[in-house]
This record gives sequence, C-alpha cells and structure tokens, in this order.
Amino acid sequence: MAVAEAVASSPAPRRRRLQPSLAAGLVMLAVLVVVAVAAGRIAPYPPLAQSFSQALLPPSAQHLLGTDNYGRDVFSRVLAATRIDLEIGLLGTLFPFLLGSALGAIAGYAGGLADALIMRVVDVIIAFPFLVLVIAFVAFVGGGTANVVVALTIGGWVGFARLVRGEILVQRQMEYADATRLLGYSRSRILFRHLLPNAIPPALVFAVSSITLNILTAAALGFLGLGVSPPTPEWGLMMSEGETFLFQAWWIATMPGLACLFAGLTFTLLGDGASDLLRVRGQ
Amino acid sequence: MNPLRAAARDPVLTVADLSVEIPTPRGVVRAVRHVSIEVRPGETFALVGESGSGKTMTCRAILRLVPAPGRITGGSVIYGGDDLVTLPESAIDRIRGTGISMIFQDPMTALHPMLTVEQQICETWGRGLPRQQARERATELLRQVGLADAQRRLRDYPHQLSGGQRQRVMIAIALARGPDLLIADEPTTALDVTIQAQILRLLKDLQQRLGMALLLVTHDLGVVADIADRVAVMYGGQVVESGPAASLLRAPRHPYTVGLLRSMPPISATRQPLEPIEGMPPDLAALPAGCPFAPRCQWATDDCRAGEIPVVAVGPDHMSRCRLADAMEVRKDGEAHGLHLIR
Amino acid sequence: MKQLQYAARRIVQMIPVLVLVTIVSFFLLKLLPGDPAAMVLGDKASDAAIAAFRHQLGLDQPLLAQYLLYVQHLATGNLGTSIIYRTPVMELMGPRAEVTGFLVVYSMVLGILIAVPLAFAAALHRDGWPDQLVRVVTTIPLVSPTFWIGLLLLLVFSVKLHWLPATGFGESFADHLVHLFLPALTLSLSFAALLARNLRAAILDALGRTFVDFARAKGLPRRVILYRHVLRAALVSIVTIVGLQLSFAIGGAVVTETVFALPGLGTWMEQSIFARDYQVVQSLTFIFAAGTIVINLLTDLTYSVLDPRVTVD
Repeated sequence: MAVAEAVASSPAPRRRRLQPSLAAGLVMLAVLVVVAVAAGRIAPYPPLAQSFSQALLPPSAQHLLGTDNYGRDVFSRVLAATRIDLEIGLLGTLFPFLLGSALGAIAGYAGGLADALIMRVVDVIIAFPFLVLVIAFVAFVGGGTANVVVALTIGGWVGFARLVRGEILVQRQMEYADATRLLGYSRSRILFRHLLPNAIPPALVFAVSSITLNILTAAALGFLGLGVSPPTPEWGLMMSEGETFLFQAWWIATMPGLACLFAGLTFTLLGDGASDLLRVRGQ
Repeated sequence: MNPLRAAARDPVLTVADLSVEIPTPRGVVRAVRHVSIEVRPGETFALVGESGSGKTMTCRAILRLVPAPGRITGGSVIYGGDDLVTLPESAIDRIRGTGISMIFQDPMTALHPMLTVEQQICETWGRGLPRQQARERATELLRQVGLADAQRRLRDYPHQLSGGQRQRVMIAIALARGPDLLIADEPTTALDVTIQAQILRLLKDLQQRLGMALLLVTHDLGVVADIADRVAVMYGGQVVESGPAASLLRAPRHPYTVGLLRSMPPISATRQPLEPIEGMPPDLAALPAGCPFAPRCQWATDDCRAGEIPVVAVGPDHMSRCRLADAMEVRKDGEAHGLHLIR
Repeated sequence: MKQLQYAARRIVQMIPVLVLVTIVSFFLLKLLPGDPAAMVLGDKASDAAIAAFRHQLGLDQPLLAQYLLYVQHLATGNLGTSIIYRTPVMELMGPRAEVTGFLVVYSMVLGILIAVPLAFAAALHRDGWPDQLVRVVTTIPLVSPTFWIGLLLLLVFSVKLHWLPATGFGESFADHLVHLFLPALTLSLSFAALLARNLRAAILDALGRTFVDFARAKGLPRRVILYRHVLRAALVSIVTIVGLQLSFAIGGAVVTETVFALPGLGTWMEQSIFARDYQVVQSLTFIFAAGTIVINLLTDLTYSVLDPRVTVD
C-alpha cells in the first residue's frame, strides 16, 4: 500500500511567504557578515596572541572553544578566520560567475567557431577533477588568497558557461527572440536586453550554492597547507594544525570545522531559497 | 456468449455502491459515486462515458489501484467471495493477475522501458518456474496474442516494438496467469485507427477462446455495438444507465445515452447531421445537486435539479437513473435515434 | 551490436579531449615562476646538471617541439622521473594507484549501500518524519569539509573507541576492507548524501509512472516492484550523477588519503608538492584527468547498458 501512499500528498506549493529555510539562511548570513567585519571587536583575545602556559586547554568559561598548542584562543581564531574564508568563498564564486556567464553567453549566442572553441575548453577543464585542478594550479603557482581565487576561477567558470549557454539556446528558441530580431534590434541589444536577463537568474542561483563548494575547497587547500600561510587564522589551516593534536586536544580541529559547516549551511539554505524563488517566478 | 445463459450464473465480479474521492487543493473530487455493476462469467461488459466520467477510476478501484491521494470511500468489490476493498494488500496481490488482470490505455507507458518482453512476461510467474519452461510459455502466449516472430520479440525492449505490437505484449502479460476477468481500459485509444479494430477483434477472440469475462472501458458506442454483451453508461461519476447492449443501444432510456448516440456517426449510409452534446461535463469537485446531466439536458425539470435521482428498472436487466425514464418513449426512425416525451 | 557501435563512438569522441588534457598538463610546468629545470632540480643543482636536464626535457627547443616530445613520452608510458625517489614515475605509480582505486571504488559501494535505503525511506514516507530526517542528515556532509568528517570519524572510532585502525592499507583484501573502512566512509558520505537526494526524487518520479500500476495489476509483490521496476528506472536517471560524483571523489580522495596517511596517489601528490617534485605533480594531475575521462566513458557505457533506449539516437 505504501507504494500508493508515497505518491500521495503532493504538497501544494506554498511559497508566497518567506520560507523558513530562506529566513534561517538570511539570519545566518547576517551573523557571518557581522563576524567577518567585527571579529576583532567581538573576539575575547587577539587571534595571534600566544601563551604557552595556556596551551591545549579544553573548552571552558575562559576559553569558550579551548586553546591550541600555542595557547591561542580557538574561539578568537575561528572568528578571525571568518573574513578570509568568506572572502575566498565569495570572490572565488564571483569571478567564475562573471567569466563563465560571459563566455557561455558568447558561445550560446554566437555559435559556430566561438561556440566550438569555448566548449572544447569547457570539456578539458571538466576532464580534471575540480579539486585536483585547483591543487595542481596552486602547487605550481603558489598559495595565498589571490592565487586560490584564480585557481577557483579556472576550475569553476565552466559550470556557469554551460548553464548560461544552455539557457541562451533555450531562450533563443522562444518566439520573442524572433520577434525582437524582426524589429531590427542590434545583436548586442538582443543579447544584453533580452537573452541575458532571462539566462542570468539560474546562474545566480547556481552561484549562491557554489559558494558553499568554494568555501569547502578553500578549507581543503588550507588543510593541505596550500592556502594562506601560518600563523594567519584560516579554518582549513587550523584544522590541519589541530590534526596533530587530535589525540590530546580534539577541539582544535573540531571547532573550525563547525564554523565551516555553519558557513556552508548558510549558503546552501540561501541557494535552496533562491532556487525556490526562481521557480515561483518561472511559473 | 448468450447473455441469457450468462445471466443464469453468479457474477464473476460484483461492484456495489463503490465510491472514490480524491482530495485536491480545489476541493474533494468525487470521481466515482455509488457505482454498482455486475460482470458475469464469460461476458463482455462495456463501461462507456466521456473522459472524466469516472470509468478509469472505477476500474482502478476494482483492483485497488487508485492513485493516491485518491481513495475508496465506500462500497464493496466482491470477487470469489472476497471483498477486495477490505482485503489486506498481500491477499490482493494473489488476486491481481490471476483472478483479475488489467491492461492500460497506453502500452508505451505501461510497459517498463528497461525490461525485455521476456522479463516482463516471465516475472509474473515468479521464481518457481524454470527459465526454459517460462520462456516456452511466454513464446506460446505471444503467439496466442497474434505476435509474429514470437521468439525474437521476447528479446525486444518496448521501444523496439510498434504500437500494436506493444499492446499485444501488454495483453499477453495480463493473460499470463489466466485471469477470470480482464479489465481493458480504453485499450485502443493510443493506437492507429487501422490497428484499433485488430486489437478489439483479438480481445473478443481471446475472451471467447479462454472463456474469461472482459470489462471493456471505451468512449466509443460503435465498439460497444460490435462486441459488448452488456453496457453501463457513466456520467459525472455515476452509472446513469445500464442494460443489455442490444436494448440499450436500440432504446436508450437516459437523455445522456441518447445524446451519445446522436453524436456518433451512424454505421449505415443514412446521412444524418451529427449532434454534439452541448455544454461541458460536470466539475467533479463541485457537482450540482440532483442529476449531474441536468445542466446539459433539454428535458430537465426543477425536479431533476433537486435530490438524488433514484435508479429505476426500465426493462429486463435494464436500469436508468433518470426521472423521465418511464416517460421516455423511443421511436425508431431507421438509424436515427429520436426521442419524444409523452407530456 | 548497437551497444558496441555506441561504445566505439564514445571512445573516438574521448580522444580529442585527452589530447587537450595533455596540453593543460604540459603547461602546468610552465606556470612555475622561474626556470622549470632549476625549480625541479632545486637550489643545490649545478649549472651543468640544469643544462643537461633542460636538454632532457627539451626545454632548449621551441615550445611546439617541447610539447610533441612531452606527448611522445606520455604515449610511450614515460611520465618523467621523481627527483626524490630517483625512479621513473611509472614504476612508483602502480602500488599507489591500487590504494587510490580501492579507496574510490570502496567509497562508491559504501555510498550506494547508504543511499539506497535512505532514498527509499524518504520516498516511501514522503513529507513524513523519515523524509525530513533524511533531508537533514544528508545536508551535513554536503556543507562540511570531507577531511573534517574524516578527522571526526578518526577521533570517535579509532582514538576513543579503538574499533578500527587509524591508518595504513593492510596486506590482504580483507585487511584492506578493514583499514580503508573509515577513509572510504569519509569519502562516501557526501556522495551518499547527493545520491540519496537525487535517488529519492527519481524514485518518486518512477512511482508515479504507469508501469508501476501495471506491475501491481500483474500481481507482482511489492518488493519486486520496488527493487526491479522502480529502482531500475530510478538508477538510470542518476547514473550521470554517479559519474559526476566519481570525479569529485577522486579529488576528495587526495585530501582523505592525507588524513588517514594512506599510501595512495593523493598522499603522494601532497608529498610531492612539498618536496617540489614537480614532474610527479604534473604526471599525477594528468593521470587524475585521464582517470576521470575513462570513468566518464564507463558511466556513459553503463547508462547504455541500463537503458536500452540510449544507443538509439
């Protein structure tokens, strides 16, 4: 009977109100932004202040999330790291979004040789596992925020290019594209005023969700020691430092991971909310 | 089979007072309302009506295949002494396929696209039957439904077959375990006109050869005239008229049946303008009080729009759910169906 | 026959991409700031050694000639030499690739074993508590770092509970299964989460199809309908996701291996990066890409086996 029951109750879409998940995502985003901007004022200790007498202390009232092997306050470091991880996550999404959307639009609209060239490059990038490509790039060029963002851009633009190209091709099929052409509008006007406005929203939704992926990738690079250099507080790097002391002081590696999870969840909720909004708009 | 002889035996299926409701955002759709029909052994029983009249839902309810969130809200379906409405799911599985089988409108969607014909036939016998034996029986079945080159067809996937072949395969699967009753839900709707007649002839043929009963859903009164022994006409989720095919078609006793007959091209050459039934079928989520056909009926009175309409016997085995059924006199003008009220 | 033709066509289509991948991996070495030969050989190398190495790599020749030499080396299985081990990369590759391959396949199997029951539980109780629970549980691996989950698993199951070994590959097959359980589980969770979600949607879609009604009308038992008809139709629609995720899993394997100190390609890549063993990094990047291409091909072929309609274009 459950076979039938499962098909049951297709819930009527009730999306007029602000969805709880989207609302939660917005609140969490606000928290992240405040922490990123004002970490210095919120943090109880300076993130780089060492104190060997205070090393490896478990979480307590004094040190909310404990201390690390240099006696640095983990809570303060987690807060201080927010800015750099958020920065990499946002910039590492913004640039692929811009580059990928532009190239995807050109490929979809111009077609022909441009399309073939761009899509071959897309095929190649996609052939590499995303993380491997990013790691390899940083390995040869060197770490640091800027290089990490470049690496994320090289690996990430292809998703946007495919998406926007696909949307443009669909939009072109639609009647109004024919209509605008008949009106004698220029090609660029058709592209920028008519095709792109319809193709970009799905790419934006994809961008919001891929912020999570980029934050996680940045953390992975930090963990491998390929991101920012110590002693800069960065979640991935902190987890790698904590790995050594996993047996004695579990909190050093665990806490930055929780922060990472919080940030990842924020953008996933926002991404889901955005895609719901888009679906409503599409109907 | 001679309907009189069939009538002498107990029905193979007795549907009594069956109701199906589907909750939707717009309200409760009353898809089937207090439907009662009897199918007798070896007969062809036709269920006729426009789309949305509740024919398909009635069939699904018989096998308890009402798609959720719809559900059976009342009545009984008696088969072999059991009420299928209240039987546990495991017991129903033993009746589906062996006692009562069903084929669906569109064989393309009803057959699994990723399983071969052989797999889809043989799985009905379960693990008990050795593979080689199962294959032989499957080949035999395919021959029985008139599929040329049966052995090769076994290895085919549904997309490799033509529409008619697919429908034959579906019939073969439905017959694999020798049911007493085959429910055929508009089995020819998805097919080319030329193939339709073949499939109908095959069904009739198989029915006679295997001695099973056939519950045929159709919107085509021509099909009814050709192969049905008895008919029930559905409208607005109700059976509005039922009776032996011959008398019902010759002397309809419900204005809706009359309308259906008039909107159908005559079989003989007598040219007569077709008369469509004016108006729209009723909204099953907002049914009017009284007779659901009243808004489209040229003879409807205030009486018709108030209260449930009782079913009246209008002849041997012939029922009508119309206040005017008794007052209806039917005159035969050749092939044309004229209806006059004695007022 | 049709499937063979299809396979042949897909393999031919793979070749240009493979060629382009060699271009990318060729240029990786050019990304090094400064003279690759000097970077590769390190500070202590003599000028003569550097010059010899430049000649060996063909760096003293025009770019095109260098590239052709590189491709020629690749084609003959020459992936360069590890500076650290002073051994051809090809020789070092075998045992490490075995570890990584084992890990990736193991994690895929675990992922499917985790995802299928979750997806069924969620789909068959749509919007009920199992559905909600699955939605929440599958969110976690998708929003947290893989290596962090690995650390937590390590902490709980090795350090605190002593149930499973923390590191190493083991000797026998059974040993591998035990040693790689935690790493494979780590790697499988995000895959399982994504698979469970997509499979849930695919199962719901399949449940609404008429072939399920017909299967029920045939009198097939529920179990057979779910696993033969529904799961089969649902799996096909998610093969693509499995392929995509395999590529992610290979990337994730690099990080996961380092957490559990597994002697695989990922750990080797990390070590080589820090040892400035650039030819190894370059070759591994190429190998990872080539592996991904082959996996994508296998995915497509699986798809065509599962769904007979695919080969008919």
